[in-house]
Amino acid sequence: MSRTTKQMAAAAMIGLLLAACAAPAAAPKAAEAPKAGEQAQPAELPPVTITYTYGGNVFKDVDMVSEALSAIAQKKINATIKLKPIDWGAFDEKMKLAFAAGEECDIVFVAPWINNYIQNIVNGNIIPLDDLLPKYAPGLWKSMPESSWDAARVNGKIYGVLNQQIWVKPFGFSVRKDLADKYGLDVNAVQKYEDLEPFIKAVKEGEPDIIPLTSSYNWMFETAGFDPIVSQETPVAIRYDDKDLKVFNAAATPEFKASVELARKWYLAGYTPKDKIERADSEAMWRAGQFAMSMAGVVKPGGDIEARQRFGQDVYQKSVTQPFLTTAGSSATMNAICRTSKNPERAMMVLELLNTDVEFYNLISKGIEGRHWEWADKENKVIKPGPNNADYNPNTDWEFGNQFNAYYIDPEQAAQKVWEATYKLNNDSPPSAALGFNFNPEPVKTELANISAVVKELAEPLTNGMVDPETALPEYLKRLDEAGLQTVIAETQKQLNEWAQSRK
Amino acid sequence: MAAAIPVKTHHQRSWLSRHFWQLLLHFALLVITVLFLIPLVVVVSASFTDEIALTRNGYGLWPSQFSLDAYNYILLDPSQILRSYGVTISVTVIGTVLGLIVMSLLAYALARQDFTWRRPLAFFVFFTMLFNGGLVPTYILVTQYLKLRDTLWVLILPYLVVPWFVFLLRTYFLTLPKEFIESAKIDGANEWQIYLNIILPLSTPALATIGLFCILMFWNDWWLALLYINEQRLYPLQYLLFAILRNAEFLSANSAASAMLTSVKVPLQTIRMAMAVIAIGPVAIAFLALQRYFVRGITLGGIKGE
Repeated sequence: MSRTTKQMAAAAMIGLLLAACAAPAAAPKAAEAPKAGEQAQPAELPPVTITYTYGGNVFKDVDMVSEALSAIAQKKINATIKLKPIDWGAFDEKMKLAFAAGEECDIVFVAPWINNYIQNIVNGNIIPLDDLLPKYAPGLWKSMPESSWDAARVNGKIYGVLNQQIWVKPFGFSVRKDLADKYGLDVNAVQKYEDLEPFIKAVKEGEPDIIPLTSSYNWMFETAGFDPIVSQETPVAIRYDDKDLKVFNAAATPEFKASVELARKWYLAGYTPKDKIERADSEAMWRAGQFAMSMAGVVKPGGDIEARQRFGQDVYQKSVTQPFLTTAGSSATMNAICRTSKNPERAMMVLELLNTDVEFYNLISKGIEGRHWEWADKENKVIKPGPNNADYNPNTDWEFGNQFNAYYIDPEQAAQKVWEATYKLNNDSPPSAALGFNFNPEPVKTELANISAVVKELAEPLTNGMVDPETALPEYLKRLDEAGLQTVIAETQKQLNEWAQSRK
Repeated sequence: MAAAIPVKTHHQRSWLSRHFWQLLLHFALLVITVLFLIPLVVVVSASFTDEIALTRNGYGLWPSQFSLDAYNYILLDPSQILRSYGVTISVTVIGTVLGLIVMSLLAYALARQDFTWRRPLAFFVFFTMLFNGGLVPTYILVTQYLKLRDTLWVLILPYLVVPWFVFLLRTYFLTLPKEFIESAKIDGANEWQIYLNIILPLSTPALATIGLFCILMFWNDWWLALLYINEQRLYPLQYLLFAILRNAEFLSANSAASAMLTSVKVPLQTIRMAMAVIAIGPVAIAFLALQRYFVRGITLGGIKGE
């Protein structure tokens, strides 16, 4: 028996050693630095294949679209394009393994919310693009002001190409048109959620079959003018216009208190469903016409058109937030180049095509003309589904490049000039004082995990008005401090000061 | 006349008392059966209900408003579903047959007391129950050295030998009397003949039980596909359903993505139910066909055979 135990222990040690050796074995391959430079004329470029890995449905016609993209790219930059979509549910897992195994890839989709941008930089999976951008993608480089690129900068270097789309978060409310008209709600006069109270009360009394609000949740950092610089979940923020960059606990502010008190008031008044409703259920209930309005959604140009397509309801939308540019908003979707890429220069040229060549970009976002889509109104760039639309219809314009190059899918979008309006909104919005600051969570990982657990447990009932803020808010603040919030605030302040110093 | 009545009541009472417990038992079993069946019926009914009606009226035993939307969405492209069925069925059949052959051979060798390398071999099998190379090294081995990515084999080979099943089989083989083997040897049978003509026929309950475990394992697996399959033509059924659901769910559930979302209209609620119906069908039938062995296999372990 003891001999077996010894054998097992010995074998276990060998196993551990083997496991320890296996990880660095992949490293040398990944460590080869890309050679930037040696610019060649397009005509003399040797033929290469560039892969593009991204999240999305794996459509039947994806190879056909790859071929159509290659036809353009071969002519322009002598590159063959291979699209490699991965199902959203498997994307994170597969990318982690592919990077850990040192698999070769060229262009890859990254974001703060999936295939994490910062994590990929820390792990050395993606390369800095500062030298490649102006040289191989001049059109893309100039399509955004220098200050916008700051949002992608980490330790002073750009690792991802920002996709232009809605960058600001003007949170506000959506309300059913028929009910707003019936009860005489002047949407444009609403400046804050409190102004909606008479209307909500009237709906509650006049429409017994309709629940006035999807939930009384109305808290958004941006609505209070806070930039949540750590993450969308952590209540650590600065005021977007605070040049002194003072970091504070967002949950301990009068703004947060007012928000949860309003939520409580409306919850007690019976304006919301009794229990929290899952998102999928809530969407179905919207479609069934069981709600009058919802709060705390992004109100963007053309948002009412999308809401109608999605919920089959005509709605009015109005923002109650002064929009401002944040790092997280601007860098919400990006494309990067893998360290394992053999042709980073050519990959950058493909990114140039994706962001500046309208035909190329719409080919990947909408498919092939006459097969996946047809012109509805060519002059105004409006398209409609083609006969084989179901075989390629990613519906994720914002993933592939500059969304303002996308064809419209609804004539009303063209009439409202949604892309121009969005571009203008991005451009006219003031930047947050911390635009370009990317928080590195590594030094306070434990505290962040603890805080996240506290937020999950206590913030939801509080912000939905399901508990009395009188007792629940002090409890929440106490638990946040116990979880180490002050440490996180101090660390954030330190990183933020260093960042501000480095920009001087 | 006075006697006739007691006789009659006696007769009635005897019928009741003879059947009372059985009636009670049947009634109880009936109630339990219904309790088990109701959720299944609700799922099937919900899958045929209109999404909006389902939200309004809630779940019921009968669709409040009949609709095929969910099936239309899933069967948008029936060729893919059929193909995935093909993949899953091939993997299940090949995997189960091969797995049973390899595992029973291994277990039989481990069960033979006169096999010299019995202990080291058993330890070798046992060791993998406790330790493995970890996800990333396994991934590198499978994709870069064995080059199994996007092949049918990658869905079969990693599950071919399950140490736990091997030990179950070995334990069963150990209960077979040694005298069978000895007398067969005296009659001049070689090792293969003993294994094929004596051991295997005596072990059908154990083999059927392990076979059913294998069928369930291969049929329900989506993890291997998530790791190693990129081409849609090789998606097994469970992974295809997982991907359809996750893709539909993902964009509406992720707040960062949904801010950018453009029109998606998907009957999410009913799709889940329709998927469950599509996925459980065949394996439920396999279970019914094999369950008599299943029950016997479990009970037989402790009883000496004739």
